[in-house]
Amino acid sequence: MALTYTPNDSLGMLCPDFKLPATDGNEYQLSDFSKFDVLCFLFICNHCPYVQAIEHRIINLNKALEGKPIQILAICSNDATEYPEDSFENIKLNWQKKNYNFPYLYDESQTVAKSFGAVCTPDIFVFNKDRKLTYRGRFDDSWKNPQQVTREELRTALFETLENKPISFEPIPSMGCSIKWK
Amino acid sequence: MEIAQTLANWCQTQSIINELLPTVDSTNNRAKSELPSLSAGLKVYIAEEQSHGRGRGTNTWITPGKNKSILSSWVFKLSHPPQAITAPLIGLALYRSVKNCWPQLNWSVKPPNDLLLSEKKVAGILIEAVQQGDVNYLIIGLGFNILSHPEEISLATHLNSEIGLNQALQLKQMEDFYNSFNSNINEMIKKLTQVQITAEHCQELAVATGAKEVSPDGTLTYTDYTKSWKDL
Repeated sequence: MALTYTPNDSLGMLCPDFKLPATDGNEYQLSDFSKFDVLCFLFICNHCPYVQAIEHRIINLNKALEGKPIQILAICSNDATEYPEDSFENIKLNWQKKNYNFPYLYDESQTVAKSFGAVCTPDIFVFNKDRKLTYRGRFDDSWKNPQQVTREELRTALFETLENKPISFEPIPSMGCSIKWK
Repeated sequence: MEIAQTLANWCQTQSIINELLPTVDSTNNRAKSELPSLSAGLKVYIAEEQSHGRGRGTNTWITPGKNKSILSSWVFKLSHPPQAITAPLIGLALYRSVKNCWPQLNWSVKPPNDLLLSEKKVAGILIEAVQQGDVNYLIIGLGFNILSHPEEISLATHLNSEIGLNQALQLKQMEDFYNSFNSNINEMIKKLTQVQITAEHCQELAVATGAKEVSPDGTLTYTDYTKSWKDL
């Protein structure tokens, strides 16, 4: 079987609209973030080891973006019946416990994941000011070990998108547990 | 007989890449941590002991003791994401394998992922799918109590206790099981791109589960209720 990576087949896709409840008690939709030049969506969950390995890196990246017109948003779309760890209540608990510093949205109907074409956790999407997809790829080049990271690919993609530059490298798809569809 | 070693030896005779670990948190987790370097179509991860064996959802798989059970993850690379019929078909593969090797015993499948022997839990499967772009991996975790079972689980058993002294487990029987399981899961893997279960497999699943009927989407009909496989 050929190893064929096609992460960029949806580049240029317009950011799908959404209206979802979040762990902070608010409900968010796309237009709530119109003041930001760059939006970054990460489909994540509680149970997946690929997410657990990078969640602190997401938090640290968001700290580093303070003051920049870049907004990170996380969405959990997993079927909580099959994976109770990923229920709305449990993602609220994890959001509090880990001090997530970005909105964490809950996509119970899974329609938002489907509209983005998300397939796994983490699955990462970056949109520019025109809300066109500029990057879909992995967080960095060593999900297992933060000490071995040599390329912070999402960070680079965020800043290149902010500067309206084309992404300067070939994105490598994010690897993760398949989204648990209902 | 050291169970983990029997599986590792069998893998070697079949030229299947394998990794034998003295202890690991969970063989499925170990497999997940290695996937990017998986170049072959199949790799089997084997443990003598698991510290955090997992079952479906938040369930755990308790190991009865070192080298007393098969603790393994069978990892396949697929051309398409596995469909919802994966769980029933892999369950059927395990059921067929044990029926083939020990036909005199009373086997049944308890959906979604348990194998029962004389109405007691003897094995469990944990199926996980991992994706990276177009590449799909299927991880089939198999825990199978062979020489012992956890005392703290009342409705559990192990194969050797049911098999009878005259037919006490021998290496040849284990090898026959590995051959059969490998053959059956490979047959099912080829069918995982299909959306529906074939009529033949529906009938086999009905026998295995004791359901009146299993429909092509995996819905089980019993005398007094109907339930989807994935909702169980």
